[in-house]
Amino acid sequence: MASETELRHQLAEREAKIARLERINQALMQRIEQGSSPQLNGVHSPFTAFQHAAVLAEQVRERTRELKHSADVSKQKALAEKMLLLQNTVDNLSQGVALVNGQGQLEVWNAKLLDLTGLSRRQLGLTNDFQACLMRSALSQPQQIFSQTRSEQKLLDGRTIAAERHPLPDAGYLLALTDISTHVAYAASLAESERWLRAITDNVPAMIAYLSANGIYEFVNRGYAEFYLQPGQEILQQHITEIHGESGYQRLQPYIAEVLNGDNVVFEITETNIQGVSRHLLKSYVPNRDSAGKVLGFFVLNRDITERKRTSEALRQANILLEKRVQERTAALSQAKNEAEIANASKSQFLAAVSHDVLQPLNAARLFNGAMLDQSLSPEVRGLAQKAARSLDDVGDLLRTLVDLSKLDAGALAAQVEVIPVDAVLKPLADEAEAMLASKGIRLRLQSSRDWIITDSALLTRILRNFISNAYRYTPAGGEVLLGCRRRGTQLEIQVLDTGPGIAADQRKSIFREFHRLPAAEHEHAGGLGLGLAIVERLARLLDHVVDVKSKVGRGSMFSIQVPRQQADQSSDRQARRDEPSVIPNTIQEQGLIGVIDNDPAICQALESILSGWGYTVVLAQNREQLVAQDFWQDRELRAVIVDYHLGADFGTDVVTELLQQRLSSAQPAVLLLTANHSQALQDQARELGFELLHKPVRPLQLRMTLRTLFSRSKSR
Amino acid sequence: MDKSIVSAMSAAKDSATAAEELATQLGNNKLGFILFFCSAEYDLPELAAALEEQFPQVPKSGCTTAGELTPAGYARGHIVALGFHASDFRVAVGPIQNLTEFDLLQAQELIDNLLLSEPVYGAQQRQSFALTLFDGLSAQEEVALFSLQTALGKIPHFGGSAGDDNQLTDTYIYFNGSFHTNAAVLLIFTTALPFEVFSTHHMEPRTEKFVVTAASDDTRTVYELNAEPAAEAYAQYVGCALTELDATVFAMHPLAVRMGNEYFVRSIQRVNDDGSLTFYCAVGEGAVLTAMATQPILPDLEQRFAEIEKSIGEPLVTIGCDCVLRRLECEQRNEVAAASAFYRRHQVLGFNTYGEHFNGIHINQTFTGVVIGRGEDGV
Repeated sequence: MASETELRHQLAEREAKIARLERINQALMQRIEQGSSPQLNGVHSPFTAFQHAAVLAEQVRERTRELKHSADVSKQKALAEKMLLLQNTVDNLSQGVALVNGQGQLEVWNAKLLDLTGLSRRQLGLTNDFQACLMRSALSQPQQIFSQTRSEQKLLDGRTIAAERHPLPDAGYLLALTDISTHVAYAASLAESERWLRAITDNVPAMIAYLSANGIYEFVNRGYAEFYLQPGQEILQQHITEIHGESGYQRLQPYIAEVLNGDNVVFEITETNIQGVSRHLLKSYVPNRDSAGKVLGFFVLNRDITERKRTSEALRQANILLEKRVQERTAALSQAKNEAEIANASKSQFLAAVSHDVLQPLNAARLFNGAMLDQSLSPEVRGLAQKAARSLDDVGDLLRTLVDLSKLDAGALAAQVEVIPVDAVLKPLADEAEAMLASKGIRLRLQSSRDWIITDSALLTRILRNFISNAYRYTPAGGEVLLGCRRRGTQLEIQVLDTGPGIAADQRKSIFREFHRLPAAEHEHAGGLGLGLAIVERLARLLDHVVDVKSKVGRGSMFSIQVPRQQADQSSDRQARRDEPSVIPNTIQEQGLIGVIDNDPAICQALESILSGWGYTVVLAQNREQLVAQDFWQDRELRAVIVDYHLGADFGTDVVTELLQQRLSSAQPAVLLLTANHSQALQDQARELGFELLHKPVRPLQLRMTLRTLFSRSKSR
Repeated sequence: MDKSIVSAMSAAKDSATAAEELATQLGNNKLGFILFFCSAEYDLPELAAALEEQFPQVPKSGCTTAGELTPAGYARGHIVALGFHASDFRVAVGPIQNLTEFDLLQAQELIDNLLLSEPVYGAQQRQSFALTLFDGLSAQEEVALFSLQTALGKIPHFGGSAGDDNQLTDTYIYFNGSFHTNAAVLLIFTTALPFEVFSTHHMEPRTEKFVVTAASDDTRTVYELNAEPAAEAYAQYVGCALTELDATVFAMHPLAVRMGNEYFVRSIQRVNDDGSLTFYCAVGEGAVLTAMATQPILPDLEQRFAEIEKSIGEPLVTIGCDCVLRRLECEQRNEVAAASAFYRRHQVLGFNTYGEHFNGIHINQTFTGVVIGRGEDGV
């Protein structure tokens, strides 16, 4: 049994224990309550702070764990992407970029930085001190980068680098390096070209300026400045009134208004230069437009034309004087010319008068002389009369020759060029000369050819006749004259050779002068006045034929003329044959119907007999009425019409043209126009109508060849 | 090649010599920051001047210790320093001068300023962790850390409270060229190198529980446990005489507060004459203290390091805040040499603390720190 003391003790113990438990209980409750309101009165108790920190840390830990695989990952990814984008952007800059923090450490840089500093990726990557690293770079003045915000650096390879340092708020900076080599080169070339431009404009002998649209000077060259300004006076950015004054500006205002309106203006004006000298200026205002056509300003070009004006005034005076003198001289010359013309005309008139007035009595004298010779005369008288007749012939020849010469000189004679066989010229000439030469005991030899020549047969005949009469004159009896021809390329040289005494070389040119005779013939009877070769020279010039003389003294002479050859029988030239219808093929049949229209019945009959003799059928008509009445017009076989130009009241051309229009058959006959009219107008008309034209008198051979040519032409058509 | 972090230590008692030796070992590399832990035995003003003389341009921070973790392992009366190369580390130094008045507002301002100085560009690969060093006898850790924790947000945080070789008189924090009391410093390290902040201990809960029935958490003094005089109640639990209670007993028989699933050790600092116990951290009335059973410390450390190294690779350096009581444990168990070898192997440098900080919580008898890896490219 426990004693009371014991029980009391136990009770006290239990009470104490209960009290402790109550205290524990109280402490715990208090802790729990405090724990739920950590910031009681805004102040933590340390232990509560610890509790909350622990709870918070636990929460943070859990939260962090949760976020680790979601938010953080994606956030970091986004950040990484942003950084990549930034780095890409930086890498794509054409500048070298370095972002350096407040501790001097490189934060961001790009590849271009390596290029522009010569630093290696490794050097940059390892450096902790970008400035020190930069000092070891290839830049020429790296210390300048830190002493100034802008600096220019040179690289060893010659490039120029602009370095810009931008301070950042955290005491760091952004360094941007730009390769400005091209800028520098460009600026240098710009400066160079500006120097050139300045040098050029300053040395141009003109005043040049540029003004903005509101009349402010923006450029003047030296010439301009020297004219308007005191030395050292400023003009740029000044208004035009500052230079020209208000009144000067008023005078220029209309032109300025015009140029600002967009037109080029050129005007002359008198202005006073800075020395106070009045000068005459030629001013040009040229508008300067922008791409939209708006006038931004205008260029001024002033030329001092004071001297020029003076000079031109002097020139004008000189010119007036000169003109006056020219007029005087012209008047004097035309006086002289008139006098000469009058003299020439009187000479021609004289010759014309001579030919008419002298030939008339001469003709009469010859008639009378002829009549006298018809009388029975004593041999002595007959002899005298015959001598007189011969003398009269000589005078007549002389006079005709003189008339011809005057005609040639006056240009009254025109060549009628045609294509004829050389035979047609030489044969008749030989026939004519043979008797004459024979009378003197001279033999004539003819060497003709089948060639056709292009010439005026009448003029050529006269030339050759002159040659022959010359030969006759100088060739002694028993001698020989040769009339022949020889091809010389495209020409046919017609030659007259004699066995006379020959002509000395020094004489050969003068023989073609008038009244020149060689002494050798002087003992002979009056054979002429030496006009023959003078006429030859003039005729040959008219025909554009070349005359030549070759001679050996004591052996004889050769006179020749070169005539263009119609290259007919040259089989080697087939092309020419095809193109030249004038070639006469032997296949041409001389048959068919030919109409002859001429108001001269004698001619009609002569032509009929000739043409029918060649094999043609001929129908005749003497006038328009006879022609119309006949039906041969409509005959399909009608090959040619030979018509006289003068058909009484009608012209042959009109009649034939009219009738050919009425013809039903499509086959048109060739038309051959005969006329004594040598006018150019008629020749032109005939060519226009397509008619062939022959001048009277017509030689039979010429007619035959012409007809054959026409037929071959129509056949080839 | 420059090393990202260089370490140095000196056993010289003379401040000038010690500083000179540090300078020689750290080299004249362009260091961005120097962190050091020194014995409180140094003439601190002299040491401050010597360090300033040797490293005039380099920001420095550090504290006094209750022992050092040097390149050679555990040491006492030494100075150990870590030089951080500026190319790999940016260290923002945030001094806290008057700890008693440090509140959330100041914390927010301080951290904002430190983070502002962190450049924007180049941050893509970089991450920060915060290191706090506190005057170990200021008893301000809980409140101040809670403010810092709130302001730091998600930045991982660890730290330690300065020691004075168990003299329990004065502990000092060094910043701005001199040593300070009633002060702390917040260091924000930013680096592209991988790192992991961790905290570990080696204890298991027992069944014994104590309710704090009378305490002053401002002075960290517990008067009663389970409504009995605290020292008596604790001695009764340990099974020893009241007079036998010393630091080694405290180390071997720790008490912890359970928060959620975790036990936070509340280490006892000393026995007071009135039978109360002073702790290294705040313990409030109503707190339930659980008796903890200690284990050998190395297996736990080895396991923890193995996990970390698996994720970040071979450590470049580990900054460790090792509770002074753990060191006493080691000494008690004759594990000092083994622990030193382990620390050398894992490049552990640091000091023995009067309390550790982990993510804003003030804790005791842990190994808390950061393992910094070498990075993928091995720089």
